[in-house]
Amino acid sequence: MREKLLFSIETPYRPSLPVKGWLFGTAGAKSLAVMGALRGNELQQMYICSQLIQKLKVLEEKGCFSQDCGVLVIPCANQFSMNVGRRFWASDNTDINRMFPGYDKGETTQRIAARIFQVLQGYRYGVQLSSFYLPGDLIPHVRMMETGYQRTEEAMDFGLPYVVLRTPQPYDTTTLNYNWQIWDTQAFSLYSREVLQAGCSGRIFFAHRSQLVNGHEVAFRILPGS
Amino acid sequence: MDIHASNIFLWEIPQVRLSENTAQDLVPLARHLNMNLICIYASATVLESTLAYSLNAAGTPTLVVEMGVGMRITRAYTQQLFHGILSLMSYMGIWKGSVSPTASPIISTDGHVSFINASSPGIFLPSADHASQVEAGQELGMIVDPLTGNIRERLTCPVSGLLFTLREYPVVSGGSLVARILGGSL
Repeated sequence: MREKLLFSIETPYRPSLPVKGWLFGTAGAKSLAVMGALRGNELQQMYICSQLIQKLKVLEEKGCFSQDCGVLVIPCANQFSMNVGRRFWASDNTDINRMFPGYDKGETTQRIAARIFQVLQGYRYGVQLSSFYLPGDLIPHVRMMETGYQRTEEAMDFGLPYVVLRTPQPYDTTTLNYNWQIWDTQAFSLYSREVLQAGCSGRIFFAHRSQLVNGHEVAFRILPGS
Repeated sequence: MDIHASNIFLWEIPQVRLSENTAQDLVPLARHLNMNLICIYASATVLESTLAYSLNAAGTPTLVVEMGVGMRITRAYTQQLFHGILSLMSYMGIWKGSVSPTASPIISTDGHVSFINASSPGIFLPSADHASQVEAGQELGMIVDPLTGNIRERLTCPVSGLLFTLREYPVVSGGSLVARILGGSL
């Protein structure tokens, strides 16, 4: 496991905020990227990433990673909003997940999106732990944008109850999922209800079925307190 | 007409905003609105979800007006637009009463607009006046450290022209839009 500072976000009157990623497997190999919280209220998503990192560390130490496979996990890219309890970028109320692929000379969240996308581009698979725009209770599931590039059958490998294939609206063209697909990554947006169960185990199962991770510990449940 | 103020961050001069797809039909109408500026911008996919786009697509010619600062009433601008609306209504044959003379707007396209973004976070202090004519190299403002007051960045105008957008909200992050100048490309 390698912890890497991907980039820093300078803020007006706080210390700079580091955006970190955790890498597993073969250095330089871009097999799977997992993006956690892009919004300040996506605590669940950040926590799922932390649990995923714990499990991938164990699997890597056991030699379970396939050859020439690499996994990146980014738990959070918006601590700024998380620190003040706001969903969107606190300074200007913009949504980072509406700024992709980003623009490095643009406004703040355009620049953040550009830097995130620069890191996430080129992966064979991409998983975004997203959150619905309405509050409510969701059955854990996978969502994909219907861009014509998607391979819906691979979404079934998460082992979740269902897959939603969404026809992108004009405002969806600036999301990470959409742009990931346009730039040759099979992208999945994962929605989970509870913090512990479906998100992390679903993704490990996907990694196994996609032959990224071999070995015996391919499906498991994270219990509270473990 | 779809009347907008700007957001709380930027101060805009009274302007009409049109997509290049609709410019040919809408500029003749927009000229009568007594606005300072008509901005013609390139099409963008996300704008297809807007009210104005939808109305234009449905056959209702629709103009978008943007002026002032969000969460603020600028009475001079409201009077300016009010007279412009009467002028447009007169042009369209809807209004038969008297109308005040209106100014001819500047017409610009994206290529003539220069964007100035902050590179440093901090507090922005403007040096130039909104809606003024600026010269290339002229100081636009500075960004200072909010705790010490030290100057983190000095911003200058990249081109000469009309400063039609200026940061009103002083707190900036890296990338925050500080100003727009109409006056040619870099």
